[in-house]
This record gives sequence, structure tokens and C-alpha cells, in this order.
Amino acid sequence: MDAAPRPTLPLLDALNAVTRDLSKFAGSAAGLGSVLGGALCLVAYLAHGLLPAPLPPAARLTFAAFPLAWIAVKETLRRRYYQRFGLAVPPVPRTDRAVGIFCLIVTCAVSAGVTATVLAVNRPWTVERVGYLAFVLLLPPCALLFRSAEEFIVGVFLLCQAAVCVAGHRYAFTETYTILFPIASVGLIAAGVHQHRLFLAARKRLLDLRARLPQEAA
Amino acid sequence: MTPPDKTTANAPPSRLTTNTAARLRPILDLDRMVHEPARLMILSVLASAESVEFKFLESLTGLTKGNLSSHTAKLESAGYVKVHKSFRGRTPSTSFQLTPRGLKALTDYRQLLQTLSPSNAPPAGKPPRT
Repeated sequence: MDAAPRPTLPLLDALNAVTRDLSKFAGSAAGLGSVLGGALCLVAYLAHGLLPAPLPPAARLTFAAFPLAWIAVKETLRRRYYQRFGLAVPPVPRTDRAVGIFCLIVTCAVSAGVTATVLAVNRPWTVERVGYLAFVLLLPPCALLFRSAEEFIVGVFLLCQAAVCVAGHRYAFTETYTILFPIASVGLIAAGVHQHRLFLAARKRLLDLRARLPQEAA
Repeated sequence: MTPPDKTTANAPPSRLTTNTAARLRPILDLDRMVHEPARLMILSVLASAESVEFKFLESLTGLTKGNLSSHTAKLESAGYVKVHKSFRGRTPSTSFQLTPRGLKALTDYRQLLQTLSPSNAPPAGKPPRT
């Protein structure tokens, strides 16, 4: 019987590179999930700016569903499609970890502040008010699922616009800073397309590697 | 079978033989735990990530479940790999992490392998650099 061929150094380097690329999909990369998030954010931004207030109930429900649908699709894609080869967790740099913790703390503080304000106002508990408060309370747990700066901006915007829509209002977008949202959307779409292409290339390299690796080396 | 030639058997080793022997001596220092092809692949995959699931290792290396279990158990007993058992949703999941000791063993092995590669071989007749 022939001896199993030994993996050479270039082959081991190729294994390292494929692992690094695929592990990104357990970290900040979401591929097509990011594309969807960016597209939903753009649609919501334009709709808030163009549709007349008050929004019809169907539009309110649709916009309220945007963040939940996005998170559900993004996480399903991540687990079922991008992690089909199993999970490899990438090393997270300390600065990224610190930024993530900072964003989470800010989100918790904003959520707590808005909740306290809503509770302090003595008004009857309508469906709109409960819905608004529900989305405000959803901010911190959802922020845990936003793994990049663009995802964070788009995700927080989608949740905030959902809360405002449920309450029967809309954003006017007269402030200059709101331009940040479409910019982040475009950035997220571009990043998503790039990540998806990276995944397809990594998958192809993995299949090629499998053919070159010593089979049942032991 | 012809008896060995006494004149060559007792002669001092040639310069070429001495050089080759000196150059190949590091082979004896290779860590056999890392040297095994399957374990080398496992360690290489683990070196590029914080932690890696069993299924990922299986997909990348193409080893069978039994083989993979046996090799990871050996690496764990050598202190090169740490094993975490948890649940991912309702499914039990086993993940592996390279220990600092495992990373050092892999780095040393790769360095040694690079030293031994033909491109690093000294020109014939010259002694290897130590």
C-alpha cells in the first residue's frame, strides 16, 4: 500500500487561509444578510422621507417587521448557509471587543432612558404605546447580534424606525446627521456582496484542497 | 550476500556524508505528535481560529469521525488542544482550541521543516550553518 502523502507547507498555509476566510462568517461577516439589511434600511429611509404622515396600518406593520425579518434571515443564512461546513470562531481583536462592549452599553443606556421616560408619562396603555416600548426594550438584546459598525448603525436605525412606525409616526429626516443611515446602508450592501464573493471563493478553495489533502492520513 | 568491504567500512566518513548527516540530524528533533499528517492538519486549522467545531475540522481535513476523534484525543492528552463540550441550540457540539503549548509545538515544527527544506540546503561541500 502506498504511504499517505504528507501535507506540505504551502498546503498547510492554504488550510490556514481557508479557515481564516470561513471563520469570518462566525464574526463580522454576514454576506447576503448584510445586503438585505442595507436594502431594508434604504427602503425604510426613503419611505419615511417620502410617505405622508400618518402612515397607513399596513405600512406601519411592514416597517415594524423590517428589523425582525432582517435579524431572522441574517442569522438563518449565517447558520444554515455560511456555516454549513461547521463553526470556526475567529480571534476578535481587543479593540473590536471594546467597541462592541461600548456600543452595547450605549444601547442599554438609551433603551433604559427612553423606557423610563415612557413609564414616567401618565398616559393610557394603547397598542401603539406597548409596541413602541417593546421595540425600545428589544434594542439591547438585538445589539448583541450586530457584529460590525455598519450592522450596528443599520440595525439600530431599523429598530428605532420600527418603534416610531408602530407608534403611528415617521422620521422627518430634516437633520443632516440622518444622511449617516443611507451611507451605512450602502456600505453594508457593498460589504455584504464582497463577503459573499469571498465565501464562494473560500468554498471553491476548500473543495480543491480536499482533493489535494492526504485522505485518511492516519 | 557479499561481506562489507573492510577498507571502506573502517574509513572515516567522507565530508559529504558528514554534512548530510549534520543537516539531517534535526529530523530526530521533530515532534512526532505534530509530525503525523492528520494531526498536523488539525493543528494547522486550529492555529487560524479562536476555536473550531468538530464538524468544521471534519469538513476541512476530510477525516472520518472516528479518526478525527482519536487524533484530537491524542492532541488533548499531549496538552496541545483544549476540548469544550456545549450545546448549540439543542444539538451537542464539541469545539477545539489550540493551547499556547500546541501553538509553540506547531511553530517549532514548521520552523524545523523550513530549515530542512531543499531550498534551505547548503551548497554541496560546504558545512551547514549552525
